[in-house]
Amino acid sequence: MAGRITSWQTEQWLTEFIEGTWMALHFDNPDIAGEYNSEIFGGGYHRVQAVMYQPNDRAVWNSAPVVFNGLPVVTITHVCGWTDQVNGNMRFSIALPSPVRAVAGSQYAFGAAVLAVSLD
Amino acid sequence: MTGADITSRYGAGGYFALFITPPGGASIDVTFFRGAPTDIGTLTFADPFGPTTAQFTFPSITQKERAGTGDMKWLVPNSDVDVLYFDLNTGEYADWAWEGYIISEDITEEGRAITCKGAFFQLDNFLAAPQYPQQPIPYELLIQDAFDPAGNPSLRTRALTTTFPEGWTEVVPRFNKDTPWYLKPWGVAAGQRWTGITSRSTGSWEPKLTGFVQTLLSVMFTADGGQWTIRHKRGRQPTLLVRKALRYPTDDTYVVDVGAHGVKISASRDFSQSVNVVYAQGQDLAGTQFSGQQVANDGSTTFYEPFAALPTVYPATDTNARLIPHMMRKESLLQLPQGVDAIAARDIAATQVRKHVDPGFTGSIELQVDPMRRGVASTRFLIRAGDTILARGLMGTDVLFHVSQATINAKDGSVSLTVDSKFRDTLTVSEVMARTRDALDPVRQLQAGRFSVTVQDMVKPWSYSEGSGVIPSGGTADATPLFTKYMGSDARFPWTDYTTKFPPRDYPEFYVRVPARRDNADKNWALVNRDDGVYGIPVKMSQAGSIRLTQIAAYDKLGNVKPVSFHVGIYGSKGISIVSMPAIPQAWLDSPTDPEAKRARDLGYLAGQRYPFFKDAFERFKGSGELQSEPVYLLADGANQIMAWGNYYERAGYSPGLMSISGRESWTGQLVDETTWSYDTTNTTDFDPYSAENTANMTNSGMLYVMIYCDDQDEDVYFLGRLWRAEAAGK
Repeated sequence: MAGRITSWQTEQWLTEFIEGTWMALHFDNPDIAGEYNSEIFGGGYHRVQAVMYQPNDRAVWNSAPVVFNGLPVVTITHVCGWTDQVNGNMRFSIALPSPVRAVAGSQYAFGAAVLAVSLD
Repeated sequence: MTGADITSRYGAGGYFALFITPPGGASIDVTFFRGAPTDIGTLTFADPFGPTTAQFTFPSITQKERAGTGDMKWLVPNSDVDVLYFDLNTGEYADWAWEGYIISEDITEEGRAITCKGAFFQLDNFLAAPQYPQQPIPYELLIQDAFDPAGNPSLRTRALTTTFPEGWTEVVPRFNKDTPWYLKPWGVAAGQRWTGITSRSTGSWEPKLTGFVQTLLSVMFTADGGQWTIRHKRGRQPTLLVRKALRYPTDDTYVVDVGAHGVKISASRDFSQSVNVVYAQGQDLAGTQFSGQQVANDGSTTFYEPFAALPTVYPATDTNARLIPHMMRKESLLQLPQGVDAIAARDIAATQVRKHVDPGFTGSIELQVDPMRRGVASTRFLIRAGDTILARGLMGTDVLFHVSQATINAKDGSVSLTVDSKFRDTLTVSEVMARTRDALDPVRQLQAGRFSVTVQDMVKPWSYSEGSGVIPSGGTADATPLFTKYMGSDARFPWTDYTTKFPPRDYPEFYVRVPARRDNADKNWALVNRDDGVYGIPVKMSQAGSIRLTQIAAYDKLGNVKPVSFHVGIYGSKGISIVSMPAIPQAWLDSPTDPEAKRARDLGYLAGQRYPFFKDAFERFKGSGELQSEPVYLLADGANQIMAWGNYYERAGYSPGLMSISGRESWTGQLVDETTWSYDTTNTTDFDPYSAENTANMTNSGMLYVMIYCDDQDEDVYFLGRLWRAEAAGK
């Protein structure tokens, strides 16, 4: 017998993403290489907080661009969301359609309303 | 009968067909032989080089039958073997083939079994020999040359083709006019696409494929982590191309589901191979060494900074917000190739951490069913080494593997793949450039006063066209025109095709003459007249260098090699003459038991005459180990002997044999020695190391002098020789 979670409940859960989601870049699949082991290091890299709109239609969207500056020479394969600016727990991971090669000091960014988290 | 009748063991959707081509014969279809299907055992492919091994059994051939006769004429050693796959869906042979040749035969009760080797492995029948190229050669041309059928007689593969990836931007740079010719790459033009990696090594007697070519491929990496490899295409076609370091499946990727019927996946991760802290040691081009060494202020302790580390384990301080104290640290030391600087070392170390922090998966996949490809089932028999396969659902995710080896077992219809989720041993571009740097490319040191030139004869260069290394040259006798003008590139020592056309009788100026034997040993030396006396024969050389091959031969007046024994010495002193040579000691000449002393007496020689063949002549040490104190045994002071051949125990003129083994009169009149020896003419008065211009104006600069003795001849004998330089040298 199938049931259904209400929109109210999903929005309660999605509110957690608004209260603190830190975006991180990874050089390998965190499911295989490990969540901590696969995160980029070096250069001026650090996690960037994602600013989210309020939940709407069982989803939340980023309301402002997410910009990573001062990257080291690395190939980015995954973009992930974390609970904290440092360490913490991984909320989700997204494999990029194709890897992105960063050169020293370069920037990686995605615009507003590009990142969506939904609970169907 | 056609292959369409073959049972399902050949796989659904098609079947294998076997063709054998005996050397010099026509191809024969032996998929069935005498009505019995040939048992196709295993077909193995590897990346690089494609087909590696295969086994077949012909059940209808009994143990009593002799292969190579009757209807088995095709079953002979080294016959070509082609396995093709007939695709029943398309009605034609697939663009797939296992190609090789027979290397062994087993006579068994089950039939005649043959084992075959992949076609490209025939290249291992040839050895990569050192050829001392004058200019650096791009790797792709070295590999192309190794695969050249014209240079490897009987090689059955086609000429290698090179395919550059789409968008390849690496092109041969334009060199300015100041770039020395010996630093410019050979065989390519400015603006032409190339790998950018060059070498002067053409091999050191290793097998051509698994030795020489494999070594070249091992450092041929691209900036994006791809690696050059050699793939096999149907028709024995080798192709040099880039194997991309894929992180995502492509349209060509095969897909299997973990746990599916007929799919056995065995994968392992060796966590002991993980690395998350990398130290490094190296020395950059300027000679500066680095290892990250740090010393406490008071000098009490020394510690080292890693060149890269995962922030979860390093530094283990309160200031490191990303530190996770319970995470295990695993350190590694990276020994960098010479020439990588400390900044590049940090990038390389970071690459090592990213590559090895997760050990990845290695393992095998055995398929009894066909995998999916482009959304439809695709026959497993056509999977080749170099392909990629995605294991869906492995450890809760999808893992992309590179197929490093594929073995088709036609007997049970299975295909076994050796797989790896990481592209191992990848080098960064900095490492590649450091490892393949041309040794002759000069560098400047950080430390002052340490510069030295890499080419030893920049002030007075070696020049084959000017006669360097020709014996004689630079004096009244000069064979330079004989070698540079009259001889073709096919001329081989002892050059009799040409010495008989230009014999000493008609061209005495090309040869060193030793007159018919006299009864005075002093008169049996070859000398040249100068205003102030008679001296050794001049030979043009260069400022300094090494000789890798010495060739000297004696001729009669018609240019035929004259079998005589002789002595040859090479000296740095312009004043070398017979009075510099050892003189016959009376005690030796009087020896009643020494046959050589008797011969000297019989020839009329007297004590005090200059002679190279008395016992212990030239030797600074006596047999007792004591230093020789008698001056008559030794060369005069200042002779500056560089190299000499021929003495009491072992005369020159017996190559390829030895007098001591083959006997006194088994002379050949030839001397060939591949011993490397060095010379330096800068310490003579005819050389101005402060001025190349002054040196160029000095007639005798860069010159050595040759002394030749011969007394086996009843008529004049003539000598001709060449010295070949070890290092890159002028054309």
